[in-house]
Amino acid sequence: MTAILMMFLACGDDIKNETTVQEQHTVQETSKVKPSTVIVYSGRGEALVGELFSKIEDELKVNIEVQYGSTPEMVTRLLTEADQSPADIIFAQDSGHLGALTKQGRLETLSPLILDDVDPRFQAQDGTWIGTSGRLRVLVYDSKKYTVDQLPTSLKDLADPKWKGQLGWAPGNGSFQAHVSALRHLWGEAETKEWLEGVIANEPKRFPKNSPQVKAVNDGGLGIGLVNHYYLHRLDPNGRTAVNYSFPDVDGGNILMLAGVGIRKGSPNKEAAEKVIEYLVSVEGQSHFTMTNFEYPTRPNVPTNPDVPDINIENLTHVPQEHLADVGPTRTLLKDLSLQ
Amino acid sequence: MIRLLALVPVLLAVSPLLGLLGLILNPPKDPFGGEPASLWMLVSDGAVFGLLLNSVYVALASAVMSVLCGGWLAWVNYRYQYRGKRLLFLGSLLVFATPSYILAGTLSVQMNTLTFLPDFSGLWASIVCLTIVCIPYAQVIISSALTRLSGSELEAAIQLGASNRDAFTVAIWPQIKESVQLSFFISFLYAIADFGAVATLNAPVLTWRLYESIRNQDLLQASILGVLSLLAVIPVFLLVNRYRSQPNRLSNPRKVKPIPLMGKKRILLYGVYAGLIWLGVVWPTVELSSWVVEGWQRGLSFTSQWDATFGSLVCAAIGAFLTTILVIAPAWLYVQESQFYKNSTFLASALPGILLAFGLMTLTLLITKYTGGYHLILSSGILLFSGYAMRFLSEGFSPIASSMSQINPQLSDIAKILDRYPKPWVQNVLLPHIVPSIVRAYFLVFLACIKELPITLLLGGSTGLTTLTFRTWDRYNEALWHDAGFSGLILLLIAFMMTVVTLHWKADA
Repeated sequence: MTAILMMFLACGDDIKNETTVQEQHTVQETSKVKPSTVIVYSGRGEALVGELFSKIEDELKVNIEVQYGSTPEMVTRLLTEADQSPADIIFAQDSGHLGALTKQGRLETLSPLILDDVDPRFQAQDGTWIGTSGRLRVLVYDSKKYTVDQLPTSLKDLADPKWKGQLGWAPGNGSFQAHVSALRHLWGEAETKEWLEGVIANEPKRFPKNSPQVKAVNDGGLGIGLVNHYYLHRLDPNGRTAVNYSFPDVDGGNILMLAGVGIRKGSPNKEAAEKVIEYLVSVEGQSHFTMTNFEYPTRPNVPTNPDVPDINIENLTHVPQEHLADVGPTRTLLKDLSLQ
Repeated sequence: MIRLLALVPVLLAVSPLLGLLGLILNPPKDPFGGEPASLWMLVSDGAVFGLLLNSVYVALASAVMSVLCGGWLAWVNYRYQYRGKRLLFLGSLLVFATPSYILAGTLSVQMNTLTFLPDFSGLWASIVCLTIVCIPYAQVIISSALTRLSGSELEAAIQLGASNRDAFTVAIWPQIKESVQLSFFISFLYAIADFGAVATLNAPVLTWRLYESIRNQDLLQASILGVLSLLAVIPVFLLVNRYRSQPNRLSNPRKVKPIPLMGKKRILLYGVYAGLIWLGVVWPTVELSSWVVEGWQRGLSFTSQWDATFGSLVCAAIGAFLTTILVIAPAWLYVQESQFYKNSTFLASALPGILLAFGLMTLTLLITKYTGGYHLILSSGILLFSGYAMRFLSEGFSPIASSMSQINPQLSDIAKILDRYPKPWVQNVLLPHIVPSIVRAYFLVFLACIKELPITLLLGGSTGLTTLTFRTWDRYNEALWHDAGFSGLILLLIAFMMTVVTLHWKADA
């Protein structure tokens, strides 16, 4: 009875979905004639990419069905569904998960035409995924409490006891895990562990994610916080007291974390999916990430938002993407330190 | 026939467990190459045992306090007359509308500005939040039972010189024990499966570890932790089941005449209402409004919420309708025959939504591996509404079972003798008695569905429906406070209207 009721209630959608399934089966034969539906599993929020996907639908005349969730959940879902997954594109908030999907052989190799659009440092070496935008790891600080010259010059200084009770962090966050993965490769396992223990001794306030940290700093409830740069720019520029600070030392503090996309291996809509990705790394697509989301572009020569300071990529800590994706041992380390 | 109908929700409640079993036997690989935790590793991990104890502690404390407070408010509302009675009762029910993570977030911000208080985080803060969230469940279920009581026994006891306490113990308590027990169950299950409040307040409990496991792609560990969570619920089930009562079934109840509330009790009542409405309704509303006002002052553009409002209403209306329909048969059999129907329909509610969704998805994948049509099933909404039903069967079950338990069995005997059974009896006796409870059940499940997030995200994405809870979560994550506040306020408004309509309908009935 339930099933009948459900089918009845869902019959409006069924018509659409039957069409979708049919289209999926026939897209390879008729993709030039019929518009296809590209299904995107997006670990990036609707606020960040919803408008952009609507624009792509209009401009490319493709149907895009975006399903949102957190990146770990979407990746877990993709792996659970395996070959039955309807997803064509996986859009991840961090490159670590994309790298992990590559290792599992879950992603197709992208067309060289797409890969050529983006700085080679911002894509997988084997071309299975591509970075669409970047967020810089920064220290957000309360400008009422501190001046720039009082701030640490290196990430390592956060273990200094003078920051006891002043720091906030989000160790469960994907960017934090990718950051620690990079540090393990830059500093070595022992030094990274020692640094984490030093910071833990400073009793940092733990946040579930980055955005409440930035708000807490702006509200005067927190001195400094280790976050991604772009949350700050959502606050009113006229009244905000929180300020971003990029570590001047090139020793792991200033890393650009990438969001990126890949195509699921076995996707019946590869051609249409590549068109969508091509748009994401086009000048128009990149302008959305920079102007609307306050992020940094992965395509060269795309201007950033005037509220976001320019960065010289050469002055950042360069980390190979596979190091950011080496999250397994990082999780073990964080678990050992009760940070997971 | 009724057994067959009762079997549907029982099977639904059990199905995610089959999915979890599938995950335990055949877990997806960790994409980061990590070794999945074995059952032995988890059992021998003292930290897991500690988290389990914390979970039970938080759930028990929240359930006890919410039943005490909600039950007392329901009783005072039934027994006494005081100024602003209807408005205060309605106001306190609006706490229903506040998702636990918004309540925890706003309370955390506001309480931490009061520097003389300790840091508002951890277990005790979670208990405070979950108690506030669960109080309306107790209020609704217990007051639903009270409104069907006859006032004659109570008034007779008082006229015979019994104290208020004795009169309550003798004339009222035996008849509402069933409802108190059910509301305790619901609060306990809600608290043990909650993630929103405990995550926001950094409380070290089992669901927190379970979500970490899912975030780390370790579905095996998540499934085992889910099973542990279920095992923790069973002793509470057994313990509470021992105290099942047989209510005094009256066929023609006469309402009690409320007496004026005076003195310290009145001050206490206003204090409790003020605290509850302030913490659970006013603070979150003020916080959300301040986000909206700030966005408006800055000239930020607001996302249209029509689609999300429509999506929320459709999801909640269908989810609540199906869940309410599904619980009628097992509730009837529970009252007539066996605890089995209650225990089995309550079981799935002990699972956190995300795990329930993954369990359901896995079971479907196992079936569609041979039959095909996975995406069709997902996009039709079958999984989404089944997920809602599994998660909220207990919330629909309690008010209906509670009212059914108060029907005088002699009435059906008389109907049989008069050859007016079953159709005329159902139409003229059963339905008039239980319809108010069905509406209350619908109201409870509707509000639960409209606030639900993990199941909606995982199983509802393919339906093309966007919800207000999703919008609030999405915008909050991205620090777009003005949009998060806007969608949150619409959610509160809908819940407010639902509450008013339900109470108004009850008054008409």
